[in-house]
Amino acid sequence: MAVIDAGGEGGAGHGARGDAPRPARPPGRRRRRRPGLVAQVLFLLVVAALAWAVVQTAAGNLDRLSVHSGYGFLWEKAPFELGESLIPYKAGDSYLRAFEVGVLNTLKVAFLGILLSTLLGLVVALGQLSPSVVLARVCRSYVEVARNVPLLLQLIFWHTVLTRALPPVRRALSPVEGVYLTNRGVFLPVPLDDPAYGAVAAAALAGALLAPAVWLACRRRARLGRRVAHPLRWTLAALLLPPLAAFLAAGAPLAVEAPQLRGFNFVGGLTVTPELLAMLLGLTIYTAAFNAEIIRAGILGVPRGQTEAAIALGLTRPRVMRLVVLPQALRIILPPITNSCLNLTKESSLAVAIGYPELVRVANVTLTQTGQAIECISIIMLVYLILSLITSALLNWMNARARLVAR
Amino acid sequence: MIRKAVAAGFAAAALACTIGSAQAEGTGKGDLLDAIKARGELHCGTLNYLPGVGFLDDKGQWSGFDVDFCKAAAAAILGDASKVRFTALTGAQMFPALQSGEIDILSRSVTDTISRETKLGLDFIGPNHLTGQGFMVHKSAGVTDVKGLDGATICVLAGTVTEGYLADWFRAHGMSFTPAAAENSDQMFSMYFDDRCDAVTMEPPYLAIRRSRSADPAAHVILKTLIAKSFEAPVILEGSPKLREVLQWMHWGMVTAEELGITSANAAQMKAGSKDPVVRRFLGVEGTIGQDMGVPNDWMLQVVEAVGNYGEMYDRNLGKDSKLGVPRGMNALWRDGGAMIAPGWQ
Amino acid sequence: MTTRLAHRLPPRLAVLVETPAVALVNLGVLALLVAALPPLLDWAVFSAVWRADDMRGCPPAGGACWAFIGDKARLIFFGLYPYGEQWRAALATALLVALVVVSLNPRCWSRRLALAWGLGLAVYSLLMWGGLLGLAPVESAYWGGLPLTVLLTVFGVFFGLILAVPVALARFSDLPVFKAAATLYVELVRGVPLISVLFMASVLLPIFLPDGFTPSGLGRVLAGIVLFFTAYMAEVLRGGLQAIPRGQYEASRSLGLSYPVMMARVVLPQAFQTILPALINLIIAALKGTSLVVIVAMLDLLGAAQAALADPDWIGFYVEDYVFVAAVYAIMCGSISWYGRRVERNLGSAQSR
Repeated sequence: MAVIDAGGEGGAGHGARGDAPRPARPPGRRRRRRPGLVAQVLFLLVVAALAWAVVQTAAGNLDRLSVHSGYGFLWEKAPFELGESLIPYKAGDSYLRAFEVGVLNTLKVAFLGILLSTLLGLVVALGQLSPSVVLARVCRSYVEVARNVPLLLQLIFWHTVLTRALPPVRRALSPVEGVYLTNRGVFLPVPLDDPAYGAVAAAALAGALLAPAVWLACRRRARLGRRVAHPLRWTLAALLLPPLAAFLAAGAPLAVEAPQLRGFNFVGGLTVTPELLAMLLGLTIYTAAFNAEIIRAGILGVPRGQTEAAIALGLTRPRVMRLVVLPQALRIILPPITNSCLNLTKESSLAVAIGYPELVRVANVTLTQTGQAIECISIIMLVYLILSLITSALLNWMNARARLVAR
Repeated sequence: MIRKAVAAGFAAAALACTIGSAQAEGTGKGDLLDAIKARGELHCGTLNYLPGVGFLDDKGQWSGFDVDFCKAAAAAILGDASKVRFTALTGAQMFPALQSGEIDILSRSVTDTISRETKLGLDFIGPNHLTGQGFMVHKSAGVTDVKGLDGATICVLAGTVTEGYLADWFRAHGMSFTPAAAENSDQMFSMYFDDRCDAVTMEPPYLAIRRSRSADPAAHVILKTLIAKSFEAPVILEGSPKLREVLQWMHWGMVTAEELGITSANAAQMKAGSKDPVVRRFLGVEGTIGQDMGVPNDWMLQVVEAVGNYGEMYDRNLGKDSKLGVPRGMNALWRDGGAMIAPGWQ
Repeated sequence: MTTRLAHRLPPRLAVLVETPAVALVNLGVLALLVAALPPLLDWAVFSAVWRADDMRGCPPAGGACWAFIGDKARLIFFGLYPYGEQWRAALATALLVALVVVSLNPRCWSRRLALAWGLGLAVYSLLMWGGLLGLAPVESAYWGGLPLTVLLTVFGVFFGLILAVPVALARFSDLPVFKAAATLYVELVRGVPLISVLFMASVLLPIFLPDGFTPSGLGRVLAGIVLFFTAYMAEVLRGGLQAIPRGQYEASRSLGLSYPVMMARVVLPQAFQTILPALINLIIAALKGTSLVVIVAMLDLLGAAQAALADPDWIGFYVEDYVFVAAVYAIMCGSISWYGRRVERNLGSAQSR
């Protein structure tokens, strides 16, 4: 009996600890505790039995194929090349290395996609709320179209357009000296490595450390009643001036390595492959439509009285937006936008359809090469689960902070 | 109450255990040949997008070289070439489909390699299609040999053996390349024809098919050098020696039929009229070859009547009687200078 | 000056020139539109080719080749469903859509609706599968195009919703095992991308299930979609359950209703009404999500559109193809959300009365 009580109380206690408001809990569940126990034990047993049966069947099926289950294959040699990679990789490296390349490529496209889609989303949201009727209508139409066309279709469309509408390498478009647009990607010049860049980087780091200090100092002064006129400008200056000064002091070395057509391809410079470009275009255009809606709802969620009061105080419209509305809207926007970023990361898995070598594609190719289906698919799921857990932990942390600031 | 719960739990667990162990026993035992005969239908995995090899047209008809192999197998085992259920599979799906027993035969131009036979536990039949791995390049690039492709971007089909051979060969020759991997061959060739890559690598017959269908066939060169041999063959799981024997001898039988001059047109006539003991044994008039293998005695007659001999099957799908017109090459009979040869039917 | 102008104009036009800045922005955007529209219209309408037998009828530098869509429409809309029987797939799909449209309106929720579903599903299966009443049998492997997209969406949402009820109730329950199991399931599924679930369903399911129990390719993909969207629906439904005032439970208890009766008669109907907007969003998400089945070799609307591009008689009309399919998707999703807003508005006015 004691066991039953502990279980019942434990469950109730756990439920009561939730911080979200829980107005309703079906009463009358209390007295049904004992049938609950029977049901729970039965449920556990059935789940366990099912799991066991599934494992047995899978083992039997795999036995027929004498596939060596387990993750040992990760240390074998992967026979394929991958189109792009942030770390050195070539055919003959291990499958593990190939998976690392895939995860990094997922993170790369997710990071860039989140950045671009949030920016575009903000612009479109502000456009929708602008007093200009025409602009608002155009932004609205964009949102309606972009979010109602499946992302996969958009990705395939952009990839096809980029590889078929752009010219081949020998007839590359060059809108600006050193920049080439071809169906094999966009080739950009990169600054040549210079010893001064080390110093610039160090100065940038110093600036990055200095800026928060300046910001905090400004706020402390403000709290003591000695308000600084433009805290944001001071902070930006602290962030940007040191690296700029170091750069100028070194004589502003600006030699760039431009891509050059040598043999079959452009050599040197930075290459943005059509696959990455199509991914970024598709993810940005699709997710920005959702982000715009989130941001718009957030801005509209700030009570009108706030805006009216700020205007009555004599603030200009842009300053009202920047100083009064956006900071408050941020608190409403943050949770759904984090969710949207997480969705973008998960949806980057559609890259498998256009050949951008991210996690799912590497897993897919590995699966075909090794036949390790269960292992490869479990790796995909595990990596995304970890990413999701990290994101939701981040979200909780930010929520907690936002609430603290509100007090 | 607790006792009731525990009792019910044990009952449920016991039930699940019986089901589980029954299933564990049900799988992995017995020869697939018996299973196919009991079922009355052959389950065949193939592809649906490559005309001449495996293709499902918009009328719902399956055709192609790989499709015909399964039709032949159904004719041999069940005496009816129409008793096949085809499943179109992607590269990632094909081996798991075999593993799970969803299909009996995988006839999808799978390339035979030692690691696939040993590590994946597969049995390859045949080989029924011999090719190699070659390259097609844009004529304007002026490349005449594979060695001239250093630094090139090469289109390759993701997850295939060609991808591995390509990387191996370039590494062995100290050369570099940028891969442009495609999900399917339609995508790969449209990338190549749009100049997304300098060269495309695949088996030469398929390169020739695509070149012949391109806007300007003269603008593309298929390089002479082959960087790898390619044994394409139907596959079954290890552990069904009887099915393996039937399918292997069926393939050899189709080659033998061509040698003996037995075609879909004259097979019935030969059966009635031929006095050649080899032909009579082959068509099941004399002896018990078929019965001994566990299939109807006239199995080769059924096969030849359904899809023809090896030469007929090749010419109809890939060769001179098809739109593709790929020469027989290595797939000609041994006496014609090719590599298709079969053990004797003594 | 503009403000003076604004006074003299009718109010509809006056907003265009409210302030000088607004007038300037309006003018700028309009100018951009005027610059962009003529070439676009020229491509899509005036220079477009509407009738041609093959690609020779469409000049490479000309306008859109809608003749391609005309030639391929049956393939794009029906995939490999037998040509002569395609009316059946069309009729069945229309029936299914009609049932869904009616079901989305809470005013129609009644026992008659359940009956209509039962009857409708029977007719639907008969039309799609055939094999009875002189209809030729059509295997599910040949279903494709729009009927497949609609089927996956509707049944994905339908079964997802049914399964979401126990999961949501379990997450709401005091019993720790149920609560933990439901939470684990929902969080696991929501943490992974749909494509990985589809891979699992199409590649791994046959390995996990015993011989003879493996459903067809269509069944497996549908199982994956249901598994995926159940988690999202359970989460939405949980929100709906939380929004129900405590008084409703107390009133039900005092009337002596048992737990199942209370849930079925009092709580769930209200919860479903509250979540209707979120549900509409999920239906749209599911409709778009079904396009992923292309990756596991199924010919849904998007897959059939890609198959249409493979015809050697029509090379290179990918823009027309994708734009057409995108328009079909946008119209479908747009009308679902329009209908959802309408039902919501009607409901709102009914409740405030």
